[in-house]
Formats: sequence, structure tokens, C-alpha cells
Amino acid sequence: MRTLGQRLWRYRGLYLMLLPGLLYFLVFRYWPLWNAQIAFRDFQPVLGVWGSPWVGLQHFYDFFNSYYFEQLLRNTLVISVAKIVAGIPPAVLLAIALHETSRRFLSRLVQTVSFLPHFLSWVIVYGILLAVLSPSDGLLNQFLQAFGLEPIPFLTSVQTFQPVVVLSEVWKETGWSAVLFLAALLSINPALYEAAAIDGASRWQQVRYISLPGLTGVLVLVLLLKIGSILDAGFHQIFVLYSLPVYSVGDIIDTWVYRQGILNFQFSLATAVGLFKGAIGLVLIVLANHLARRWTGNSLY
Amino acid sequence: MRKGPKLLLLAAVLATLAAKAQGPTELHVALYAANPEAPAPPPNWEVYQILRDKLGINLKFTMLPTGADGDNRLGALAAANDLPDLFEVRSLALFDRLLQQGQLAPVNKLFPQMPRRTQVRYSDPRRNRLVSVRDQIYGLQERVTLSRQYAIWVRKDWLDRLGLQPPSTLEEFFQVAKAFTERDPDGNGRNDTYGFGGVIDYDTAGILPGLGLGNHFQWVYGAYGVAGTWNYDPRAFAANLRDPNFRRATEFIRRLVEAKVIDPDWATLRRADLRTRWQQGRYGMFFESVGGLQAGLQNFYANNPNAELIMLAPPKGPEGKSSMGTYSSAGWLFVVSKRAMDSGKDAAIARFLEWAHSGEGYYLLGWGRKGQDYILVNNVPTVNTQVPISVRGSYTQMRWLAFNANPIEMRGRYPEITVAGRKFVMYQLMEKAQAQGNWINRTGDVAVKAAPNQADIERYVAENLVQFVLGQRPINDTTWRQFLDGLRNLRFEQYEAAAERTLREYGYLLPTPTR
Amino acid sequence: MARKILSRSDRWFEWSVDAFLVLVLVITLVPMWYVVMVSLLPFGERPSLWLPPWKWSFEAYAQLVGQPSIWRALLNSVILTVGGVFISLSLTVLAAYPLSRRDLPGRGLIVGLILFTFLFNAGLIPTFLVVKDLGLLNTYWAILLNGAISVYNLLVLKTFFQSIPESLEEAARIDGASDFQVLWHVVLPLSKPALLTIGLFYGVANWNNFFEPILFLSDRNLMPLPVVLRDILTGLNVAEYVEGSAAQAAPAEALKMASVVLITLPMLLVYPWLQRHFTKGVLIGSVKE
Repeated sequence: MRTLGQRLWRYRGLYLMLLPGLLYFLVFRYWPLWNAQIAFRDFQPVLGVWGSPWVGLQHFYDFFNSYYFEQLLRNTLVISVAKIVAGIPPAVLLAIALHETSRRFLSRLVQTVSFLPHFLSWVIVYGILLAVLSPSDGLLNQFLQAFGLEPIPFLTSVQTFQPVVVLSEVWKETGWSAVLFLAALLSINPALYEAAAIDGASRWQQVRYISLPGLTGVLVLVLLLKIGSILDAGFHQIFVLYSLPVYSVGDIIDTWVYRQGILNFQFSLATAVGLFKGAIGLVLIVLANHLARRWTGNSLY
Repeated sequence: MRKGPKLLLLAAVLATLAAKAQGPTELHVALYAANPEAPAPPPNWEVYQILRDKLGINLKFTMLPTGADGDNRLGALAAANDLPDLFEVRSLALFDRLLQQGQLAPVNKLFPQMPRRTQVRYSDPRRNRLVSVRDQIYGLQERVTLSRQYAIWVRKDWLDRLGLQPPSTLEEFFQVAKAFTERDPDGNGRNDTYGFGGVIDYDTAGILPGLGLGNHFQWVYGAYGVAGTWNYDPRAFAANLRDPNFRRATEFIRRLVEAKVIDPDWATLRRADLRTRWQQGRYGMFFESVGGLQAGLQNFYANNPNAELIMLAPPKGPEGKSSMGTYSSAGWLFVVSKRAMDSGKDAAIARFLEWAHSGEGYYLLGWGRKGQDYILVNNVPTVNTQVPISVRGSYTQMRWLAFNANPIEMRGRYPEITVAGRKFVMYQLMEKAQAQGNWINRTGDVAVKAAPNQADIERYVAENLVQFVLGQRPINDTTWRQFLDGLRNLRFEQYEAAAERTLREYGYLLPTPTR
Repeated sequence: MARKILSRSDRWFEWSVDAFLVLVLVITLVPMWYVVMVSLLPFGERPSLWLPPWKWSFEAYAQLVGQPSIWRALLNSVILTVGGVFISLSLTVLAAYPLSRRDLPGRGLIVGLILFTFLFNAGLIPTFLVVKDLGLLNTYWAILLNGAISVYNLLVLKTFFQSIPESLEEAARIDGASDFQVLWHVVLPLSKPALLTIGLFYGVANWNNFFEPILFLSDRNLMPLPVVLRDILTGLNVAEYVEGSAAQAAPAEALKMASVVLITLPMLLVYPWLQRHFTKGVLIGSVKE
């Protein structure tokens, strides 16, 4: 029997390796959590985190009672849910199509091309959207006008802003999300398809009875993961896309936190809202993980 | 000269010498870009060397981008308790917030250390009071340099081609704008022109944008007698947006948008886009400053060789009122962080500012490199318009610390220029814009403290007006009442009441509004 | 898949599958094509989907390429990307390897603590205060260090290390190799595809990062390309990046879109290579048990 000390000493090399990483997590992940106590204080930069006076839950009350609370929560949830609902079916379809097509060249080409947008920053996608959606010269509006329709200011109209946010996300991420599903399809035993074909199943029936069931596991997993982060409606995207005319439909919790915190100096209020969001997210993801483990036997982490 | 100032001068000289003996003081100065078109001064700028050698100051200059991005930078620095030693504040809400958080220092201590500058600039108690709390003055409140330089410009050549007169009323403005949009005024056979170009812009360069759609549309509200945020009539004090005329003015802008005589992109365009587009010749009328015009004329005439521009007086409303907007006689505001003052940098700051006020420092900061960025014409320093602003602008990014707001400066900065064979006397245009704009003095607005939820209030008003104007919500009794009722949820009455108290206390609610 | 004889319904199936793929292709490519067309727009011309080649104007590109500030931003982006990949990859490998060793005492606790930060994060302002207290504001260290380890990448790499047969490591250790030597000589050479993937993940994230520079940097000379692009697109400072005579030679739309193309270009150049490895990488991530 060796003492604990001896055991730990044996692993000194590994602990040494671990040190920089641990230091990173301590400094850049746990220290901010410590600083997050300013949510319960009236943070004054001159006094510092430690010296600012306590105000308890004041900032949380202020947020729940603020004029924009409901709107922010609604926008965040609507955009988030719409992204899930509109995002998954095209990705599944694309994965199945990539898997089923007998033209290998086409499959490769589509994979290469549909992946590309994932690697573009939202700033670049914003540029592309400007070109396509601008009311004066945008491609889409040129089409509308060719058919005698009125041009639509897609990026600045309350009716169209949310669809633009959702569809631009779908455009950017479908190829990327399809890979996960494609991986699941590739892991299905090919013998199943062969057996089905011999039994005279049509291609469509093979998709219906082999491919789709093969996807349920990963589908549930993806869905739960997204539900766990449902309060993340896409800060970077909205940060570059939104403007004054569409604040009422585009402003989400994260953009509001940014504006209150950095632009408007309400450091404590912004932190309180960030904590609120983090807490909800934590509960949801733990719940989602629990469900994932129960339903699919897989866990998210 | 009596003995007093001389002794003070001597003291200042001695202080300089003492400072030099101790080694240079680090001085971090942050200012909004005076020339957003140009980059920050290069690292080898001679000013840095001179300050080190002569004043014992190691200057670090941060150039803040204009607009929200600049406020954003200051906000981040404030959160970090890392504010620059001397910096500029353009957002009054920001100033109030910094004051509340105790991040600013009183500047009273600086005055005796920079006697010449103080005598010229900071000796008006009424102006100082705008930025005071009790007896402490929390900012160097400059006089206004060049406010009221905005105007609506009209394409005279288009008017002539269509056989129209310059509009003098809102109704005529609407008709002309419609003709400019629909009757192909440039004769290129394409439907590619718009009647009016203006954007949502809250530039605070000496004018007050007011709550709402920003300064490019103030003239509409001016025509209905409701320009600016507050009604300064002591018997009828209220926020102007409660006035029925405020709704009528908003309805007029809606008419412009509905008739498609404003560029459909206007709600998201920025000032830079607006400039590109009028220079391309897309607008028959547009809102622009004399300075902006001067910078863009070269491009404009390259694109539109036969064009002719005239300045329009603000169009009259139904009751014959007119105004281009509201302005403040208080100019730029520079503040000193508490940290800087606590660490004893007051002497260095005063030294630097006094240096910038006259002589060598004045010319270097205000005008740039002699013989390159400016030349002397009859002993008047005059910008060298041969050098593009994107180049010479770098050397005058700190010019607001130097300029004195006197007529000689105006002549030098807005000289006579010749573009495409046409002569423009810019300073005369400037005087004309100031004179014929019927600008309304609302200096008291500067003293009004920001509401705790100022950002929410500003957003609420601007957002609702944009929705009305874009037709996303119809303007009728119900919707307008909803708009006004919504203010209650933002505790707008409290803000209004506080504003009234301040304005009365400071003596701005006078029986006859000051012009 | 070789399925030679097709029934009628199967032929329909194949046809609709291919049609769908072509549709995806069109939807993805047309907007990008249009951006390129607008960037080539000569002055006085309206943008359209098909601009005849003899009308193409490279004026917008010429003006952008002639701007020193664009080159400086490119250099900044390269520094941030390369430096970021190096730092992130080293830290992630060093942390992932010990955590992949099932025998390490305290492993569960440490993984738990790391996972918690993945699930719950303190938000913008508290993080900002840390960066400030460390004196990193307005330096690249703020960006490089703050995002140094992605928990997701760490877990993926840890899982990958776990999949390497322990017998190989055992053998090395019996030969007297230290833990570090095992990592360097045995584990890493076997992990090349995983390392490449993770490195690319970090690289892309750094290349596209625009928010942290806005947040942490105040010196405009330090700003990377995406920030410059955003300024150009939102019309903040078009004039700042382009000479005064721009409007005359190229329309503002062309300038904006040319900057989009220029910033996408480096990504496109490495993309084919990147895509190949990414596919593998996602598979590594997805088949974790």
C-alpha cells in the first residue's frame, strides 16, 4: 500500500503538464465567476469588485420589471426555436441526399460547397446578405421588381428581420450540421440495405425504414443539445445584422446585455442578466443530458 | 498687464522646469477622431518628440472612433477603471454616468496652472455651471466652434431642367422631392434618383439632435415649431413629443417615405454612405454640413460635371415657422479622470493644454505641418486643400484641443476653393448656414441630467418613430396614444420633471426663447 | 454503391435526390457569385447577376489593395490566427493528455470542474474585468489567452487520446520513457489528424473573430480584418480605408463587396485542404463514446 502522497508523486509529470491548462481555467473561467458577484452589488469601477456596496437582488428585480424584459425573452426564444425547427430538416435531408446519390462527383461537390459558409464569419455573411437583400440593388429585390412587386427592406423590416436571421443561419450552417447526420448514416451496417434491396424494398422504403431510424439517436442528441442552449439565439449574428428599426424583433438577451453593460455602463445590471441566463442554461442542459441518457443511452458530455 | 498673471506665468514656467528634472510624465489622452476620414497620427509625429523634450510629457494618444463605437471604447475603459487621463466626452449620458460613478475629477485645480487658456475659454461661469456639481467644475467646457453649419442642399441644375423653383415650404419641398424622384432629373433615362437624402444620425458636433430621428430630420420638426427635446416656454414646459405638432411633423416624414422620395436604404445608412451617394449624384436634395460639402465637392464634380448646388433655407411649416434645428453654445467637453488627478498629473495636463492653446502647440495640433497641411495666406493659417483630407487629417486629429473658435480660424479652415472651375467661398457659406437656418439655442439641454434608463428612453422614442415613419405601424389616434402611453412605463415623467427643475434652476426657461 | 437495375420509383428517387443536391448547390453559390459581380461593378452601372466580362472593373480591388490599413489589418489577422493556433493547441494538448489517462488521481474532479465552465459562464463584464486586472487590455494577449482553450476541443482531443491503445504507451513507459516523452514520441505522432482538425477549429475561430478585438482592443492599428470589414460594411469609415477619390472610380457597393471577397479569399485558398480534414475531424468528434 502506498500513501496518497506517493501515488500523487508518481503522476507528477502528468500534473505538471496539466498545470498550464488548470491555470487557464482558474484565471479565465473561475476568476470571472468570482467577479460575477457584482451582479449583487452596485459595482463602481473606482471601488473595485470587493469595495462596491451590496444591493442584493435589486438588479434582478430591475431586469424582470424592465420595460423590455418580455420582449427580450420573447425574441430570444422565438429566434432560437425557429432556428431549431427550420435548421434540422434541411440538414437531415442533405445528409440523406449526400448518402443516397449515386453520383460521387456531385456528392463531393455539394459537400465542399455547402460546408463553405460555416467557415465564414458573420461579418462576411452580413456582406453577402447586404448584396442579396438591399432594397435598392439587392438580388432578391431585383427579382421582386422584375415581377412587378414592391422591393422589401428585408434587413430593416419588422416582418422580415426574424426570418432573415433564421434563414441566414440555415444557409450558413446546413452543410455543417449535415455532417453529423452523414456520419450516423455511414455507421449504419451496409448489410441492412443489401438485405432490404434483396427483399425488394424500394430506395425510398430503404430511407424510410433504415436510414431514418438510424438517425433518431443523433437527432435526439442534437435536439437536446440545442434545447440546452436555447437562450443563445446567436449573439454575433444579431450583433452585426440588427439596427434601430428592428430592435423590437431583433434585440435578444445577449445584445441587450452588451448594450447595457458596455455602452450604457450598467455593469452590475448586465452581469445580473448574464447570470440569470447562465443559470437557466445550466438547468436546461443538465435536464437535457439527463433525458438524453435515459432515451438514447448516450450523454452529451 | 498686472502682476498677477505674470506671476502665474512664472509659476507655470517653473513648474515646467521642475517637471523636466523629474523625467517625463506619462499622459494618456483619448479624443474622438476630429477627421474620421483619416487615420491616427503616425508614431513618429513630431508632436510626441516636442512634448517629451520641451514639456516633459510622454503623450499616448488614443483616437476614438466617432459614434457608438467610440462611446463603447470609453465604456469598456470605464468598466476597467482604466480611463485615460484627459479625454473627450460626447455623450452627455456617459458624462453623467461617469460622474455618478466618481470616475471624474474636478478640474478647478487646473485653471490657475493654465492662466491664458482659462482666461479665454473657461471664464464664463454660466458655461462652466453646465458641467458643475455644487461648486466643483467637472469638465473643461469649451465654447462652441462651428455649430449650425448644416443645411439642405439642392441641385439647382435639376430644378432648372424640370422648370422648378427652390422649395420654400414643406409642401413645395414634397412636390420638388417627388419630381426629382419620378421625372428623371438627370436625364439618363433611368429611374435612379431620389428627392431627398438624409440618414438617422445623432452627430453632436455642436448641435443637439434631440430625442427622435436625429439631426437630419430636425428641420421638419422645426417647421412645426417642435425642434429639440424640450419646449422652453416657461408656462408650457413639456417634452416636445407630447405636442400634437410633433405627430404632424412625423406624419410629414412618413409622407416622404411613403412616396419613396427618400432613398429606401435610409434607415440603415450611415453618414459615410450618404456622402458617397450625394457625391454620386443620386439625390436632388440632401442634408450635409458645410465641412462635409467642402470635403466632397471634388468627387461630386468629378461625377457630375454640370451640376450646380444651392443652399436651401429651412422650409416653412403650415404656420410659417421654420428652423434647421437646435444647437448649444457649449462646444466640446474634455474631462480629467479621477485617477489622473489623484496621481498628481494635473500639472502635466495643464502644461499640455496651455501649450495647445497658443503658439507652437496651437499650430501643430490645430493646423498640422506648416507648408504641407496648411499654408499662411495673408498671415492667416489656411488648410492646404491640395492635400487630401485623408492625409492631412492625420496631423490634426487633436485639433479640438487647440482651436479657439474665432473668425480667423473659420476663414483658414473654410477658405475659398476652386473645384471644376467653380469658385466656392466656404466661410461665406458657413456664415450663411448659420444665419439663415433659424437655429434655436437650447444650451440648457446640456445641463439636464440623463435619466437612469436614458438609453431605453432614447431607444424607445427613436424606434417608435422609425416604425411610424417606415409605415410598419400606421399613425393614427390609437397608435399615437399607445406610443405616448408607453413612455409612462419608462418613467418618462420623472425625467421630464427633473429636466424642468434643472432648466428653471439654471435660468433657461425664459419668457422669450433665445435665438 | 452499385445498384444497377433501377425500378421506376427508384429512378424517380435518384432524380429527386440529385435535384435536391443541385438546389443546395445553387442556393449556396448564387449569393456568393452575386457578391463577386457587385464587386466588379463599374461606376454608373446597376448591379446584376450577370455582368458581362468586358464591363468588369477591378477599380474597387485596386483601391483596397492600395490601402496600407488593409495590409496592416491582414498582418494583424495573421498574427492572431497563427499565434492563437499555437497557444491554443499547446495548451489543449497538454491538458487533454493527462485527462485522457484513466489512472490519473483526481481526474474525475478536474474534468468536472472544466465541464462546469462549459455549462455556466460568467458573462461579458466579469471576464472583461479579469482581462483588465491582468493588464492585458489593448494587447493581443487579451484575445489569445482569453479564448485559449475551448472546452469542446479539449474534450474531443481527450476522447481521441483515450482511443489510442494503452499497450503502446505501456511499452514506451517500460522502456523508461517519461510521461512527456510518451506524449511527444508515441501519442502525438498517432494523433496527427486529430491535432490538425483541432488546430483548424482554432484557426478558423481566430480568423473570424471580430467581437473580442472590438471589446479588448482600443488601438485601431491593432484591429484585424473582420473588424475593418465590419467598419466598411456598416459605412462607418469607408472613407477612412479608401482614398478620397473613391466615389469617382468605383461605387461604394463595389468597394464593400470587394472587401468581402478579399477577406474571404485567404479562407478559400486553404479551404479545399481544410474541408478534407474537417470532415475527418467532425467524425472524430461525433463517434466519441
